[in-house]
Amino acid sequence: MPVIFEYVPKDTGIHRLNPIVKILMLVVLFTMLSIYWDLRFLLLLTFLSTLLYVLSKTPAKWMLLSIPFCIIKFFEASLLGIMQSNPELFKTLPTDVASTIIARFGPFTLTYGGLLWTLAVILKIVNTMMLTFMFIHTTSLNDLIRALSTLKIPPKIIYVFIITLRFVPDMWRELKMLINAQRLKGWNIKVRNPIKLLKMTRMIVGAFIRKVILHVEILSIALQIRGFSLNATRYPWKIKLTSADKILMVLMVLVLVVATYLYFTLDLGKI
Amino acid sequence: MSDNLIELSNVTVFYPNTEEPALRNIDLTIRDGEFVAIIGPLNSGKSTLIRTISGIIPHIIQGRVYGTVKVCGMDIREHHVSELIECIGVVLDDPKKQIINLTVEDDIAFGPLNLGLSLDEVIKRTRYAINVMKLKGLEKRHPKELSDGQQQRVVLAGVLALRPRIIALDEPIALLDPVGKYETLSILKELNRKYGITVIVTESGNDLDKILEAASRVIVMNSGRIILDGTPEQIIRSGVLERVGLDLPDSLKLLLKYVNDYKVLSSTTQNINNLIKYLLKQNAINKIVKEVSKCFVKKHPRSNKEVLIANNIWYEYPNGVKALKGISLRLYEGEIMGIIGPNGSGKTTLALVLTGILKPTNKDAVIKMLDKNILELDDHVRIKLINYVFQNPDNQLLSNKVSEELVLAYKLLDMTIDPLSKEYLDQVVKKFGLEKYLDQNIGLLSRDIKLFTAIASIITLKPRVIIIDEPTNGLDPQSTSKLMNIVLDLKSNGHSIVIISHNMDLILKYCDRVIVVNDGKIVMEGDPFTVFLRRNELLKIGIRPPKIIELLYELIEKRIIDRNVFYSGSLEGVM
Repeated sequence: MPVIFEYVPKDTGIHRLNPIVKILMLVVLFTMLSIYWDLRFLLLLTFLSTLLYVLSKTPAKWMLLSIPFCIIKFFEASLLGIMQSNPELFKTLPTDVASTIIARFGPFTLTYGGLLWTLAVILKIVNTMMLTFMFIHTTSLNDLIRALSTLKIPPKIIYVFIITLRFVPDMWRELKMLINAQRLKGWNIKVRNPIKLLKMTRMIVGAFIRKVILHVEILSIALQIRGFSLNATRYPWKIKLTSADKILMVLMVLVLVVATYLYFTLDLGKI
Repeated sequence: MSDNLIELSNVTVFYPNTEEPALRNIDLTIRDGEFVAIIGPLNSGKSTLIRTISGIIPHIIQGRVYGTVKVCGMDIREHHVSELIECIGVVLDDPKKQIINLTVEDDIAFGPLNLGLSLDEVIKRTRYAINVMKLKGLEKRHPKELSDGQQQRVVLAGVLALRPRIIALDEPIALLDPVGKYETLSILKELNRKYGITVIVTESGNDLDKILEAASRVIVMNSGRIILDGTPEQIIRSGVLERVGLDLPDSLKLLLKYVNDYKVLSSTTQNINNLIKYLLKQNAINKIVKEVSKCFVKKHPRSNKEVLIANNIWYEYPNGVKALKGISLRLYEGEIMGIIGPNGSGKTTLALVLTGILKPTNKDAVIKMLDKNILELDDHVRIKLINYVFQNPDNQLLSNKVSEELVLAYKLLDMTIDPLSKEYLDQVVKKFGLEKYLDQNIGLLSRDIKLFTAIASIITLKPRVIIIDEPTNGLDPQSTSKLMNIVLDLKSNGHSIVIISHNMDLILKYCDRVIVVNDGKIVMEGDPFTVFLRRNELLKIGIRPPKIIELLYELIEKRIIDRNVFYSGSLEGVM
């Protein structure tokens, strides 16, 4: 059964796209995500990311992983008041509106500017995860290696990609098995005593690290005995793009140019 | 160019930070077209030899290699692994970990892609490997959805697509189910005989009979040295196997007593009639029946005290796969029960449900142990009643040292180690022969010691029922025998043991009862001998009984002997 972070071959439009187009699409969308802070633009991007996610038939439950990140970010950004007090962040929002207090929680205050900033950060996290998962779900490892090689990415960086993509699902499986095996010895994560909980977690982490080291070692051997070499890039193929690939590439470049131009000249997308 | 594909001259190999060599003064020549089996007990140097001739040592694993190692005329020290892959392809001992990609065809194409071949050539080679390995129709499948035997074939196809002259495989059938073993060896024989590829396989012993049947030459290793090199028959008759702690299955040894010509015996998979004719000529059938009846037919009544009752167990995974479909079973006090079945039949899921790791997905399921409802018990109570040893001991081991691991369960359950417990722990350590390993780093131990530590750490909880999943995987016969003696000892102390295994000889020899699981259901149950005699039904679901049973089945089918002769104690009806 495929687990999180695994490519699944399916017949969707996104699966059929050339991996280079998908990489370009990610670069454009990530660039826009990183420069835009205006919620209206971010919601538009979220709509686009969701559309891609749904069209690629990436499992919806993978996005559950974004929840803890969003919660942490919410507390860090809104309640603890980090960042929103920095006036440099607010380019278009009047300072008095940005500093309007919405609620107080003991020593913490939630301001209107802080809330907007927090929501923007959360949308950025959700979008980044959605696009990354969509890419992983729709791009086979061979396609990714070919695309990165064509883009003249050094083999050492490609190697990191392979190890990560191949490794995370395997380790996920191993971790589940390790936890099950340890429950049979009395290991219990549900203890209420925090010190005991820490000790329990430390034990699993130690055993898991041993597995990780062994796994990386075997994976490294497996790659090299199948001809993958860190010293050579030997993918001589030319990029074969379909009409859809070409249209999308041109569209993406146009979007990037326009979005960047509007951002720098008209402050569009700034908060 | 000479016929010699591999030439080793006075080769000694050291792993990093070790003073003891893993290989000592090896002189070896392997010619084009040979099928070589390298056999020996655990840590005898077999895997190191494979790693050395493929260049993994010294290029990926930083060992020191002395002497000369030439493969296809290339000195392995001067050529990196990636330059040797078109000469020698390697399949590691756990093929699943060698699968890089997420579809079968992508994985097979991975090697040719790395060679920088044209797209047409990559496709051509991929298709060729898919055809030879009989993987047609599985191209788009996720390798992890395939059976172990099929995954092994995917790995072999990936290596074959590189078009090597030699394929070296480290313990290629150790983790496979009986049909997977048979399929893999058939493919290897075909690669060797039809396509002329030189095949080298290593084997630690539990599948020795199957490997010897396929090989044309056998090299026996012990303590890093080659101690004998000959044909399978020469090796079997030399007595060297016993000397190095290897052994053939009891059922095969029994046949060897009456069959002088090993070729007759080794060809039985294809043509059992030759063996029957031979035995009839030798007038040996009645003697064999008598011995089988004495050794393998269980006549002792088991205890009637039920320790575990499971009724109507269903389990469905979150992806909708129904792994168990209404399983009901009983386990009796002091009984060794075997669970067999093809890969993916639900054996391990059943064990996880019985031990409470997974909960049945139907509400009316019942799992009772000594009148206690297992499904309602907390982990810390349940694990003292029924426990489970995983197939891979690495999953079971949390501590850094063996001594820490053995008392881990006590610590986790906040139990005090009183003098009585200390005495019991000492007994367990002695029973498993772990005295000299107590202060050693678990990560550096061999598989057998890791497995013994894993089982010992579970036994410290004194569970009434212990389920052991594939206990003999990766063990040599000596370790297997030691382990099974411990199991027998536990049985005599009233423990009930469940063994999940693909090792049919082990099931035949040690189990009082066996249940056959297929597609989430129990399809057969009984004493192993009687169940194995239902050979054709078993073959249909991917189970291959031991060779002696295959012979007896044919003898019964041909009406040379009567089935009842095994149970009556009389030899009437035997020709």
